[in-house]
Formats: sequence, C-alpha cells, structure tokens
Amino acid sequence: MMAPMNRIALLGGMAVGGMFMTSVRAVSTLVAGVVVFGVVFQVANPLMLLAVFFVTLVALYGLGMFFASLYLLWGREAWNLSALMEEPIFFSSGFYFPLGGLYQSGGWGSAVAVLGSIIPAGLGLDALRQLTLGETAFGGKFWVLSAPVELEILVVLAVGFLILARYALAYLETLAKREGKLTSRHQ
Amino acid sequence: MSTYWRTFKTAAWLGWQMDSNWTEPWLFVIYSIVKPVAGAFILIFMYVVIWSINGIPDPHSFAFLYIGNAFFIFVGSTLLGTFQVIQSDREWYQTIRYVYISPISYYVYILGRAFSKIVVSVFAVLITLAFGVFLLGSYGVQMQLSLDRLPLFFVSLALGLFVLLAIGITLGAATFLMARHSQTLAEAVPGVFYVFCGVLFPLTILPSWGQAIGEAIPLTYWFEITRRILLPFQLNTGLAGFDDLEILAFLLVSTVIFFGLSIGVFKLGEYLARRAGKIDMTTSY
Repeated sequence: MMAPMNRIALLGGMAVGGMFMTSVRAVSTLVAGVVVFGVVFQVANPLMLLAVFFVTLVALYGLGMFFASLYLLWGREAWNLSALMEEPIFFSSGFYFPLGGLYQSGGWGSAVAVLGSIIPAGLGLDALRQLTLGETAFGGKFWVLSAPVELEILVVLAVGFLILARYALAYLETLAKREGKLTSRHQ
Repeated sequence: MSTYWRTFKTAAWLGWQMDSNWTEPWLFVIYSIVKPVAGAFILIFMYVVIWSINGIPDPHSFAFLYIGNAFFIFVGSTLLGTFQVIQSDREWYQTIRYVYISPISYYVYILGRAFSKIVVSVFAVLITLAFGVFLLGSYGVQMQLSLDRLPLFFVSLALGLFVLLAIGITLGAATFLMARHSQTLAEAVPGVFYVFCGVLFPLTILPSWGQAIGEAIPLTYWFEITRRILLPFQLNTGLAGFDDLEILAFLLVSTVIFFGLSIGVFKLGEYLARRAGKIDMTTSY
C-alpha cells in the first residue's frame, strides 16, 4: 500500500493475468462440449463474439474490483460472503439456463432477472449464447435483447463499474486506515 | 487409537470453528440456506426452459438430476476441505510447523479438518432435499426411504463420504509441493466428477470412452446406489445389470483401494516436501 502506484492499475494488471486463465478455461470447456457432447456452434460474427467476451470480462473485473474494496475492511467475512453470493449470482444471471426464461416467468422471477442483468455475466452470457448457438436456439424465444444492444449495455456497465471501483477503493482504503484494518491478516 | 480419535475430534472442532465463527449465527444460518436453495432454483429453471422448448415434461429426469445435484454438494465441499488444509495452514495462517511437529498424525488431522466441511454440507444437502420434497413435488421430485433400506443408505453414505476424503487426500497431498493451486484443484476435480459420474444425467448419455471413465470412478457407484434407494423409479444408467449389493461391493472395494492409495501418496508428498524443504514454505500468497 506504500508503493507509489495506482491501486486500480495493480488490480487491472492482476485481472489481465486472470483473464488469460479464464480464457483458457473457457476454451477448454468449449472443446469439451464439442468433443464429449457433440455441441455444434454457429459463429456468424466472430468479431462481435470477441468484443462481447472481453467487454463482459472487463465489466466483471470492474465489479470484482468494486467488491475487492470490501476485503480491505472485512477479512474472512468478505470471502465467505462472496462464496455465499455464488449460487444466487449463477441463478439470477442465467449461468445454466437462458436469462429470458427467468424474465418470462413473471412476478419475482422477472425482478430477479432485472437484478441479474446488472451483473455483467447476465447480458454477457445471453449475447454469447446468441452469437455461438444462433438466434434460433431455444426456439428463439428466450433472448433478453439483441446481441448488439447487449454489447452497448455491457460497455456502459464496464465503464460504470470501473469508475465505481476507483471511488470505492479510495473510500474504503481511507476507512480501513482509520480503523486500523489495512494490514490485519486473515482475521 | 485414542490419539487418532483425539486428533480427529480436535481437528474437526477446529475446522468447524474456522468455517462458522467468521460471522454471527443468524448470518451463518442464512449462508447455509441461501446457497442450496439458489442451487435448487437453478435446476428448476434449467428444467422449465428445456420443458418449454421440448413441450414434453420429463419429471423422472428432473428428479434424477435433483438428487444427483443435492448429493454433489458433498463432493465439492469435502474435496475443497481436504485440498485447502495444507495450503491454508502453511500459507495463510502459517501454523503448519506447530501442527506438524506435534505428536499427532497429520493425515488424521486433515481428515478431521475436512470432516467439518462434511458437517456443514449435511445442512445444505438436507435443505436441498427438503426443498425438493416439499416444494417441487409437482415437478416430479419424489423420494422414498423405507426403514429396511435405511442401513443400506447409511452404509453407502458413509462409504461415499470416506472415499471422497480418500480421493481428497490423495490429490491434496500434491499441495505439499504447490504454492497456491489448491483452489484450482478444488474446482477442476469436482468438475471432472460432475461430468463423468452421472450426477446430472445417466452415464449412457456419454460416449463409450466417457462411460468407461465414469465406471472407473467410485463416486459413480455412490450416486447410483443413492438414487436406487431414494427414487421410486429407475432410469437406465448403464449399471442396471448390477444389483444393489454388487454396486455396494464396487463402492467398498474402491473405497479400500483409494484409502490405501491416499496413505501412500500422502506419505510420498510429505517425503518429497520434507526433502525439498517445502513443508513450511511461504510464498506470501
């Protein structure tokens, strides 16, 4: 923390390293899908696909940096709370089913879907599915928005989360210094 | 034997404290409920979307994957529990040197620490099963557990958990020599089991080489016998030719094999780490 550097730049550099690992895992999963289950991909617009993938990652890392600031204040609590949020995030952002299904369920399902759309993975996955499986996949009735519109929203989310992360880190760093929690280890 | 038991008990208590004392009890209860219920909702929507596309409900398949997913909670948490002990003691808390030189079995200590994860998982599994039985009956989640099947259920559960611990220690021994990759192991290995052990779908869905891999993993037999006991129907999983006792025998034999393997690999990992001076290494991770 004493080093003359920008915290966002540090987290950004670490995120780029993480992105490489994430990309390797994503590709491995896709290859496994093709080899084991014979999944057929229809990629008509590879540039758009790459754009959506990386903008989603940037937005997710922005969100991650925003929450990373909480680790300055909380130790194991933040770690456990982030573990707690995994399943609800998987659910609300449609990791394992098209998010449009949740939107169309009405009532609380739609509300959860709206919240899930704020998490970049929600719209990002929806756009990635459209771009890799074709717009007619799932009967063409479960998409939230078109892929280009989702990309625009993702860009806004990415910028917004990065700005939020910058301010949150600065604020919580000050708070952590005031409370003497900046260097406490694994409490 | 009393030293082993005392070590196991104390390590389990320590693990429980580490897992649960990070917050207030009410938040821990919420933590224990929200995760499995959200997991159940994921399955429901997966099923509903597929049902909506096909236009044909398939309640048996849903019940099949629901039970598999519920018991898979044990797999992820138990493996994470065994994989992370060495790394967390060595790198995070830096207590491994004190535990390691104390007159206890470090192997039993890891078993105890991982056991606390099983205890926490029991809540999650029970909540998931109760959620399914009481709220998802209309989707086809029906379970039965007659008194005469109880002993078989508990024996298979004990063997399944024990083989999980053994697999966890076998692979976790590698973390003696690793800097920080236990988390990767804890994500990758359950992922392999998720695909090849028939957790969400019958083994027959997999290509023949995939089925062969699945049949070589003991957990496949655990999931198979658990479903036979709990579900009022059977799907064709490719293991229909074996009766319950034969499946249990496969599970027992593979448990014994993995237990022996875990001791051997653990000793080897420990020996190599000591020789390389890595037992208490810290990489400031």
